[in-house]
Amino acid sequence: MLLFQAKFSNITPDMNEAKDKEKDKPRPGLKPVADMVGIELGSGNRGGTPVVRIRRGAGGAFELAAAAMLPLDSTLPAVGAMASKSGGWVLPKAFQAPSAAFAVTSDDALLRQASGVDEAMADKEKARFRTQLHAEDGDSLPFVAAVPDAVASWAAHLLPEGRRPTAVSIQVADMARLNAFAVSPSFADTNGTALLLIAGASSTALAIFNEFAPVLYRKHSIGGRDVLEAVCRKMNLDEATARDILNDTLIDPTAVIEPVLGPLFRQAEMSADYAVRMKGCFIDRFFLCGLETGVRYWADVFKQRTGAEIVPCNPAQEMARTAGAVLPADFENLAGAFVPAIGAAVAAMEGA
Amino acid sequence: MSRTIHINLLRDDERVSSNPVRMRVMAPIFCGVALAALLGAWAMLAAANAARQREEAAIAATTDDLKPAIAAFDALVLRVNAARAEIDQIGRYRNGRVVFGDMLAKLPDVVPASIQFTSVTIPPPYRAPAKKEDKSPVRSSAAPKSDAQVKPGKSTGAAPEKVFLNLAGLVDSAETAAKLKTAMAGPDFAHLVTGAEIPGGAFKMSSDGSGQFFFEISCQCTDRRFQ
Amino acid sequence: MIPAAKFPAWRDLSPASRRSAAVSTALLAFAVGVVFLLLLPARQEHGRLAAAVSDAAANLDALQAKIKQTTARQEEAEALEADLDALRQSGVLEPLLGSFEMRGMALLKPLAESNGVALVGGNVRRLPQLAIAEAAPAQGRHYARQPLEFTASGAYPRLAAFIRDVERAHPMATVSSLRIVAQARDPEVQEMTVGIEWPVVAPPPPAPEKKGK
Repeated sequence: MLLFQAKFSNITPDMNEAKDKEKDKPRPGLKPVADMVGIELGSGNRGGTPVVRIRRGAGGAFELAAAAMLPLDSTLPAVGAMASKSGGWVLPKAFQAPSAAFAVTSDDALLRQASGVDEAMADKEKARFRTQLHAEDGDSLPFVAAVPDAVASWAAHLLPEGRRPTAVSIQVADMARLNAFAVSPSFADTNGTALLLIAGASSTALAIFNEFAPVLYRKHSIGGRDVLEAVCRKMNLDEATARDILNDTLIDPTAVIEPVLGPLFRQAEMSADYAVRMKGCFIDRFFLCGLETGVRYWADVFKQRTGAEIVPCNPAQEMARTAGAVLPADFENLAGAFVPAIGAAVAAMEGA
Repeated sequence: MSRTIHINLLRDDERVSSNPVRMRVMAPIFCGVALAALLGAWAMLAAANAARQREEAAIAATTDDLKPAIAAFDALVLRVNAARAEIDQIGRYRNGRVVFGDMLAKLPDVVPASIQFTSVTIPPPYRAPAKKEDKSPVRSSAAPKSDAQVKPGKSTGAAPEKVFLNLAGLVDSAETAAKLKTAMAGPDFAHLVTGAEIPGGAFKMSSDGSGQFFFEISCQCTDRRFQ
Repeated sequence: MIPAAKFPAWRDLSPASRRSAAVSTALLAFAVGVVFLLLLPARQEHGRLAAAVSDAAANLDALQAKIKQTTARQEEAEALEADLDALRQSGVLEPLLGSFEMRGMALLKPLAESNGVALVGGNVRRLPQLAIAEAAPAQGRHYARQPLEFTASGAYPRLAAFIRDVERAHPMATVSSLRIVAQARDPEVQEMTVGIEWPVVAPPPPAPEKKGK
């Protein structure tokens, strides 16, 4: 069984290490949170910072009330930098919910399947990181999440006191993507058992759900960027042309990308097999999220390799919308960029 | 059932409230507002006091301007009071005046022919002695003594002065003397004489062997009341 | 669940909360100072000024009411003084060359002559003044009774007529003492010593000495 190789091995616990599960449990007697803003930090998106507003509709279902790429500088501070008290973000009226949840996208951020922080991080790295262990009873997977403390402190002060919204949650973007998928209608229509590939630019996360709870999580260092580069290199094309080929059916680049995606899908097979043997869950639903380019070819290669149909899934496009939702004109094209923000918001709402 | 996993890396002490009404903001604001209100109240009070002071000064100036007129009025009051006081004193004097002339002129008409007066005396005003007992001015055959006193105004109301008219002389009989006494107390002198008597021991035989009698008749006249 | 409210320790407060507490305390201290050093004294002064202005206004009204009566008082004073003059002229004795005796003799001599009474000119005696009222008035001249003792001789009817004429001619002249004595040498002529008093302006009597303990 291959395990994900940790990028950071020297992590030390600090006073922020939270072992308590109580924080994430809903507090009895309190009104459920029905309005939350989700913000992705460090997305690197040239259009702006992805921000969404999620509300609970009738019956408690999540609805998208607003989404936009706001002109806010969400570039993460460098690791090792002093925690600066930046802040003073003033969100437009459409996004002035009482609370906000951040999803931090960073190569330094960590989400690992581990039973403890010591297992997930090396001691000498723990001092610089803020860590949190999430463990539940039963077969549910224990996770360790970590972000550099400077980044967390910086994020905690982005939204000023006395104005709406104020920060109530800082999450790792990888977990936020998982959460966005967990509440998507596509997943809700299944029996709770599925394999999910979340394709990023340079890595792809693989998660297996059983009874709607993740039972396996791995991250593999093959992403959409690798596919694009293979097409450029092998077919001697520029990036734009390669992107067009991947989005078009005129020229079939399968032969080029199959060697790139093959190992990834092999891992997916093995993980599925592991899940069947160890957890007893038979996976017959496969989902692919996060891809902007070449979705059909990923699906074709997946089918060639595994014989299974993998379904593209965009939780942002699938989410129900409130009446009069404030969305950009090209939301359908940008929807994928809002997934981490949506995932952070819904997790904060359910975890409040 | 929750399908999401919320791993929150935000510390509790980093949570802030979106409520603009925060105690650490509102407390200084309330204290500042209270201070401003107190200062405002003080300013208003000070302004009112200044206005009152101006009003007081204006009234004082007006009052000062009236001083000559008030002084003139007070002088008039003094003149009025002085005149009244003098008129009162003169009036008291006039009220205490007793007239003897008519009575003296008419006296010979009522005196019997057998009476020969040796003296007619009106003693001077009765003056209270230093001791408590008063000396009667009845026996006035000797030189009148200035022992009549006016009671000093020790208490409220001037004490009336007793006035007496004493007649002394020779008479042939007691009956004649009594006749004269009755005449003195009679209607002819009723406006002046209130009573007449022959004091005890005032009727005695003359020692010159004439067979006549010395007599004295003391007539009490109207009191002199200076009121 | 909302935990029971309790005051955190100073060290547990954030710097912003500490600043807030310090500023609030300072403002409260200023407020207390304003109350005791400015507001309360100003309020006291306000009350004092209100009373003072009220009193001054009432006083001014009273003065103005007084002044309105000036004409009436003027007329009253003039009328009273006219009455007083008339009274004085009707009988208050004024000294002649500083002498009441000379004045008295001047008044009686014509009457004596007209009645055939011989007044002894050099024998006018000024007797001690007598009070009219118990105490001197607070204002105005003080009057007293000034008896003058005259000596005269003549027949009784002439003497009586003389007394009567004096009383009629001088409404303020009052016989205060009288002594008519028969003369052994001449039964037709009696000698009269008569005290006649007039009201005169006199110095006020001295204030009685207070009996010290």
